[in-house]
Formats: sequence, structure tokens, C-alpha cells
Amino acid sequence: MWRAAANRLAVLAVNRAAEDAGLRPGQSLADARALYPKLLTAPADAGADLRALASLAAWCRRFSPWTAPIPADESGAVPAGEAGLWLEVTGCAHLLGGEAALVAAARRGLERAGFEARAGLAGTPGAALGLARFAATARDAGGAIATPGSEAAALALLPVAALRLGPDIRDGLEALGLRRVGELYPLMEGPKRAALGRRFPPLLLSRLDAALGRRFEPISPSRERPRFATRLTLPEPSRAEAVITHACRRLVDELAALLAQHGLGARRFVFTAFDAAGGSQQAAVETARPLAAVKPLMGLFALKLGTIDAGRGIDGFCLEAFATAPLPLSQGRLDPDPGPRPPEEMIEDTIDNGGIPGADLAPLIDRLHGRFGRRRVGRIALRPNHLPERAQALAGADASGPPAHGLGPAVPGPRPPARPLRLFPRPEPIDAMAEVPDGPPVWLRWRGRRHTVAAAAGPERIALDWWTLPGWQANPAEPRQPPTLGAAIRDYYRVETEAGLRLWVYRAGLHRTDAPARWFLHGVFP
Amino acid sequence: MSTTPTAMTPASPPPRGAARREAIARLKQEIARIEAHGATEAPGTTAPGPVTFGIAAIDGHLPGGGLATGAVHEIIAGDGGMAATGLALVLTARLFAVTKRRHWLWCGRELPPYGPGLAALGCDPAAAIVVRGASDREALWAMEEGLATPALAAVIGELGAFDDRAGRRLALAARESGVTAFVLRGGTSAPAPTVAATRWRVRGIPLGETAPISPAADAPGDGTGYAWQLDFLRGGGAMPRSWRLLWRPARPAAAASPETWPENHDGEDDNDTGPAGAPPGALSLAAPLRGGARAGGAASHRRRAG
Repeated sequence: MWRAAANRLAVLAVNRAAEDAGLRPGQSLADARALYPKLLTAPADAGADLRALASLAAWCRRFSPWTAPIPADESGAVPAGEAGLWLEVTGCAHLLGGEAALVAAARRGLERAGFEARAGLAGTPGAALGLARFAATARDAGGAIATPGSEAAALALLPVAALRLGPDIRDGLEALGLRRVGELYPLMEGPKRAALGRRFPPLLLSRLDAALGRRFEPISPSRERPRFATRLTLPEPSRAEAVITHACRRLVDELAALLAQHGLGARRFVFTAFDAAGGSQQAAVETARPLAAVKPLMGLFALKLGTIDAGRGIDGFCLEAFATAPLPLSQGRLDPDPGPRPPEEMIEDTIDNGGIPGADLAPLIDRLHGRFGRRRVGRIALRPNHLPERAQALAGADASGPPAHGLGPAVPGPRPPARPLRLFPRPEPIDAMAEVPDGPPVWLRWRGRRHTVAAAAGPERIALDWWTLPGWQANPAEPRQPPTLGAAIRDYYRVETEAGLRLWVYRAGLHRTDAPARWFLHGVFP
Repeated sequence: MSTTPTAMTPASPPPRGAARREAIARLKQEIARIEAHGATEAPGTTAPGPVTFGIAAIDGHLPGGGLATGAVHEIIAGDGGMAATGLALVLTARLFAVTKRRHWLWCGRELPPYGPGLAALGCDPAAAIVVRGASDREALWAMEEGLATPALAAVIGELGAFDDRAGRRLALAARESGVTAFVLRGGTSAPAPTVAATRWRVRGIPLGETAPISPAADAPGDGTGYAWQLDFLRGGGAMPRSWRLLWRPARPAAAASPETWPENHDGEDDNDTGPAGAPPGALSLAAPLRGGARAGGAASHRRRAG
């Protein structure tokens, strides 16, 4: 890991192998490469580090509900690569069999996740961090634990950097010959304290006081996002398919009630069945809008539950809701079952749904998504592009997605040129013969059948984006070749065959005497 | 169906011409409704009226005065073109006005229709929910789901074949929700009997072969338009019949060139401005050209043997 600092690329962190090869954080990247030419390097990503740390903090909530990340510090008080986590374990340790057992369990878990961890445990956060960084080693499983009240003794022999001080303060202390925390203790009392306070930034004394428990240092845990999940454990494994449906129904009931309690709906639900052999199978449904109602959810799950095989015996279920969002408020009806609505009411199809347009389409879209997947269901969005193949795109059918471009209100203006009803994604090459080189075709052969052209209209000339053509790439090695004039031109004709087919054909490029014209069929009119 | 006949009292003079046909169509529709639902239902609370072609000759021929909403209609493509799809979409656009709903569902094997082309026929592409790559079974399932969604105006599905049972399920779902279904079927061979309320066959014909019958609908020269041979095969006990149908984009009030689209080689008439909110086009009836009637235009029609 490297990052740019002070006009050079500096090594920020190294892994164990690199450390063994003699590389150290703080070296310049060029030096490191000189030491070991085959070095794999990557730029540091502080944001990703923070996110990883936050997720580790979330994971550590299994040991204590009160966890907070200690991010690496720009000032150097916590150097990069030594970021850590606070865990306030007061009252938690006995659940895991004591402080040493808790530390060991946390380290095991982090090790499994690929992290090398050092642990310190003390009566104050500052002392715990100092112990973790300077007293514990990566090899001792129990970590460095200071008994309550012994923080001062435990810290006394550690270097002053254990107090989370930036390099400026550390250098200042070193100039006075103060290298260990214990050497500061005599300076904290009486008139010397005032002298220390004058000579150094107030951070030094506040860190010292906090580490020794003279000043309270709070830990602010990152806020926990509520998790919506329900689970059901069977007394013994079951192979009955009906159990799956029944369990799903029960979990959906519970989860819907839970979501409704918070006024939330979710857009993704994952139903997991755990089998006795330790495996699990999932069925996931996604909805077009936040949903917390039992009936539509069960309808969606009914499409998916068939994929869960109860053959190995299922003994537990879990239903989780993701992508939660506030439920749109809707007005309830007075009569519980309105029955089929008379047609007059359908006219105002938006009023009945709390004013959300298209809300009554959402169940249909959800079911289509459930059966066909999101990629095969969509809406046709018109795009303002003159190229026929780019004038439309398939947009997602979700009501939550960006609105598709539709027909606006009719605007007076020139009528758009005629466009076919079916456009082939790739124009199909055809044989065609024109009477004059730049005229419409008189006959054409498409898919093995010869069609005689009864009438033709055109040409409508559409020029392609020549800068996207092959041969016109920004290649600094070669001088740019300007595209051949006319290579990026299509002359479209609407032709009507004697059989009554209306086709949209084009000739690629301008007429050339040295090559036959290339014709393509791009679409079919009704 | 823009004019409403006056009350049918003995005092009023008997309606004539189109009004008379329309009145008969309304009465037939009333009878069909009573036959279907019994006379107990008060008129006005039933499903919206039928969707019409807007052409008295066709609507009058159909029992009920048009294509019933809340029913399944089958349209067979008589050629390899898009005429059947086009007709279904034109009817869907007319359904928007009848049902006051604006969403529709498309399920098909291939890509959905091209958005700008849809817009030209009056179907808002953004109001469509499309399912693509659906096999016959999947399309049937999706259509049934769509027919159970009363917020939809229409459901259009491309199906190769569907059996009686599937057809009945669709018909039942359509009747309950009032959503109209169009089943598009390919193949020119005679399809198996189905339970669709009506069955049509459509194929494209050259625009040059047709001329509008009604003087009022005489709107050639707009540069675009489609001509279809429309075969009514069965439905409601009416006799099979055939018409030649023209679809023309709405024309501005200003007089346009009398040239029809095939002759008009620079087809884009750029100064056209349509009235705001007007339908994008209209259907009209066409008659085949008699020999020599279009001698002037025939010169540019290249006819070749084979």
C-alpha cells in the first residue's frame, strides 16, 4: 500500500512477506521497488479502509454492543495500518468466560477473517489502546490485560507514542529526554504540570489524564442500523414441502408486523432454509416498491419456494428484509374487500393508491420480476438520439427507478420521420439492386427470399458517430487517420414490396465505383 | 362513433345512413350484453363499451358493435411482416380512450416493438411493460398475470400455439378484470380452433394498390401510412368478411400533396404540425384500385413478373 505524501510516493503499509523482505512503512516507493523489484503495490484507499473498519466494528458487536472504530489519523497519532476498534466490554466479559477468553475469541474471529490483531484490555480506552499497540504482540493469544487500577503501572514502561500523540509532541518529549510514559508521571503534579501544559499542546495532558482514568474518555459507538429478520427453528428436521410454505407464511407474518411497527417496507426479502447437514438454501424476492404486506409477499414467495429442496431435512428458517424504506402513506378503505371496482373508479387509478402513479402496477411488475428476472422485464424508454438503434432503451420496470422518457404532451412541430415497428438489433445484410447508384433498390433478397420493390421513399440520410468507428481510436502511437468520407453514412429507404411488406433498408456508405454497395435491412413497418 | 343518435322515439325521424348503422350496432351491443350478463345489471356499471375501428362497415358487422373489451382477440399474421402487430397496437391505442387506462403489457419471444414506431401508432412506449424472450408457456403465464391487473388497458402477447384450456383461462381472467387481450399468432396455416372472442387475419398490402373509399377519409399524400388486408374469420356468429384497411397518420388541416406515399419520394413533409392532443392517426376503408384508375401513379410502380 502506498500513497502520495510530501512530493513522493511513500509506502504506507506492508504485509508480512514484505516485512520479511526488509520493507518498512515510510520508505519511498522507489526504494521499496529497488529492494524487491517484483513488489506488488496498490494505492491506499482511505475510504475503503474506513468502510472495512466500520464493518469490523459491526462484527464485533457480538462481544459488546458498544463498539467504535479507531480510524488511522492524519496527524500520525494512530499511524495507517494500526487502526483499531474500541470495545466497551464492561459487563460483557463473563458471558464468554472472562476477559482473557473474550480477547482470545475476538482474535480468533478476526484471524479467520484474515486480520492480524493485537488486543489490550484496561480500565480506560487510552490505556487499552496503548497496551494493544505496544505491550501486546501478535503472537500472544490472551493479549495484554491490565487489572483495574493498574493502568499507570502497565503503561509506565511503554513509549510515549502509546498515548496517541502526533510526531510533533513525540519529538518535543524526546528532546527533553522523555521516552517512556512513566517518565511523565512526576511531571503531572503540582507546578510541573503547569510547565508541561505551557510547553506542549493541551492534547498531551488530556491524553495522559484519560489514559490514567483521571478524565473520562467516552466511546461513541457507530449507530446500529436496525435489522429486520425473523427466524423459526423446528424441533426436529422436516422433509415435508408443506412445512416450507407454512414456515414462510409465519415468518412473513412476523416480519410484516415488525416492519409495519417501524412504518417501513422493504424491497428485498431473503428466505433461508437451513438443513440438518449444515447447508442452507435461499429464495429471494424483490419488489418494485417498499412492501410490508403479507398477501403480496406470499404471492411472490409462492413463485420461488419451489426451488427449495426439503430432501435433506430442514430444521430452521430465517427471513430477512433488506433495502428498507419508509412505506408510502396510503389511505385505507372503509370496506375491507372492495371487490371489483366499477370502471368509473378505474379512471382515477392514482387516487386510490395514495397518489402514487403506477402503484397498482407494482404487484404485476413484482410477479413478472419473480418469474422472469429483472433483465427480461422492462419499459421502453425513448432516448433523444438520432441513431435509430440508440433512440430507445429498455429501462427497468420498477416504479422506483428513474422515470422512462415517454411521449410528452403533443407539441406542434414537424412530424418525426417514419420509424418501423420492429427494429433489428443488428441490421441484417441483404442483397439489393438499385437502378441508379444512389437510388432506392428495385429488388432485394432477404432471408433467402427475393422481394420485388413496388415503391420506395427516401433517402433519409443518417450519419453515424464517426469518432466511435474503428480506425478512429485515440491512439497516441499512430497518427490519427481521418475516417473515410462517407463510411459513417447510412441512406435509409422505406420500400414496399409487391407482396405488401414494408421494409426499412439502408445503403451503407456513399456510392463507390470500386466496390459494390452494401445494403442492410434494419426494420419492418406494419 | 363520435355522433350519438337521438332518442329512438316514434316522434323523431328514423336515422339515416351512418347514424342508422350506428344505432343498430348499439342495439346489437345491448342485446349481446343482456345475453352475456343478464338484464339485471343496470347499464353504465358494466365494463366499458367495445373498442371500435371507427369504421361503420366493420363495427356494424361485428356483434356488439366492435371488439368487446375484457375479452381475448386473436390476430393471425398473414405474412412475415408486422401488420398483425400494427393492428393490435392501433386497437390498443383506441382502447386507451375507451378504458381511460394508459398502461399495457407486451410479452413476446423477440424484442418488444421499436419505441419510436410505437409512438407513431399512438401507444406510449413508456406506458408499456414489456417481457422479452418469453416462450409460449411463459407468455401465457405473463398474459394471465396481466389480465388479472385491472390497471392495464390491454395485454398483447406473441404466441405460437395455445390450447383450449389456456385460452379459457385467459378469457376468464380478461372477463373478470375488463382487460382486453390480443393474441398475435404467426403462421399462415389454418390454426387450431380457440376460444378467442374474435379471430382476424391481417397482412400487409402495397399502399399503391388501395384507394380510400370514403371521401371524408381521403387522406393520401401524407407520405406515410399502411394498408392492410383484414380478414374477419370468426367471432360472435358473424359471417367471415374481408376489408382493405388503411392507417393514415393524422393530417394537419392544411391541404397536403395529393401524392400517395409510394410516389412521394422525399417522404418527410417537414412542415406538418398536428393539432395538440389529436390521435396520431386514423383507420379508414380502402378499395382496391380498378384498372386504369391510377394511370398517373402507376408509372412509378415497378411491376415485375415473379
